[in-house]
Amino acid sequence: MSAEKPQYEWSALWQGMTGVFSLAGLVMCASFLGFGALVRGMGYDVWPALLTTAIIWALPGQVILLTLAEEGAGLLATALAVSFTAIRLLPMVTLVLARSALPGTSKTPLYFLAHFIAVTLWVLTEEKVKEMPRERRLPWLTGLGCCLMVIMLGMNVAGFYLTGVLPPIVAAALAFMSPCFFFISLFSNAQGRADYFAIAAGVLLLPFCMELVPDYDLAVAGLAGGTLAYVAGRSRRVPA
Amino acid sequence: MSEETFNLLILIIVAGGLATYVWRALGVYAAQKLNPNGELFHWLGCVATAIVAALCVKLALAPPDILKETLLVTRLGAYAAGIAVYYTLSNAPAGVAAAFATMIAVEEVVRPIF
Repeated sequence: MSAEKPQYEWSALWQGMTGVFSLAGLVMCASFLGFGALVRGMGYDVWPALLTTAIIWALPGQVILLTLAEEGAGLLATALAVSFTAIRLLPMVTLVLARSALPGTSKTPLYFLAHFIAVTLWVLTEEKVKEMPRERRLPWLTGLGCCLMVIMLGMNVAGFYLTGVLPPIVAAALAFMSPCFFFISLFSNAQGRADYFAIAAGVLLLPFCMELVPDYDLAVAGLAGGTLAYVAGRSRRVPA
Repeated sequence: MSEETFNLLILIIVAGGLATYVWRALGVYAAQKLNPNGELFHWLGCVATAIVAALCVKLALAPPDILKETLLVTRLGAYAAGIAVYYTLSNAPAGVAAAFATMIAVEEVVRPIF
């Protein structure tokens, strides 16, 4: 008789939903509330907020896409800028799956869970999954991811409509919360000199890029600034 | 469906959804094959950081309509207050809350004085 095949315990899907009650979940709610307000402030309807949340599921990319679309930037420039900010998702997906995937099982659940993985799910994986039996981890995370998405779609709608009834300055501050969150996250996620160089380079190059290459300002500032920062950080790490 | 709506829909699906999911799918693949700590990903990480930093500056310099009534110095001040509180308390949510409060305080209390 052959050994029993490993299998996920899908009953953990429901328990995953309890993971939303956490500090990370609360911060996420505020960000998506702010995003709803921002989308309205850009002059859009509510559906682009919901659709970008459902199919991009990474706020910086969502804000970049709608900012560039509003300016009429082309498909290629937009895809390039959005795609580069999504690269950070790759290692997060790899790390979450390293903790949760069951070797020797179908890959389909991995590609499904991957869509929900962003910074919050990664943080919660590190926090909560370690004590769980391995066959419960992936279902637990999948349930959490789906539940978070439903809540955030609700937050988008709330932020969008609150903007109409709040005093204009409160609505403006709400909309500016996601950019502030991104900016602070850059510092809190920075791990070495190269990351601080990259922040400085992006900040300093952007005003020039807005003048010189208005359609590709984010992509050019990012590619040039990021590459400079990488080289500068590298020469510091490996002295000649 | 108007042409404008259709174009935005395509843009969100292709330049948003596909351009993002590519990296998640590669992450699934990399979980078995690639080294996410290698030099390639280090460079890609620097580019992504610079793009997000540039985005933050862009939203302050050329703000969307909802922020047009606020002063540039208010928007930059909100960033500065957020970073200062983040470093003082080592707490990112507190930094975001401080940025939010700063924007309202500067516009409602400080600005009318001048």
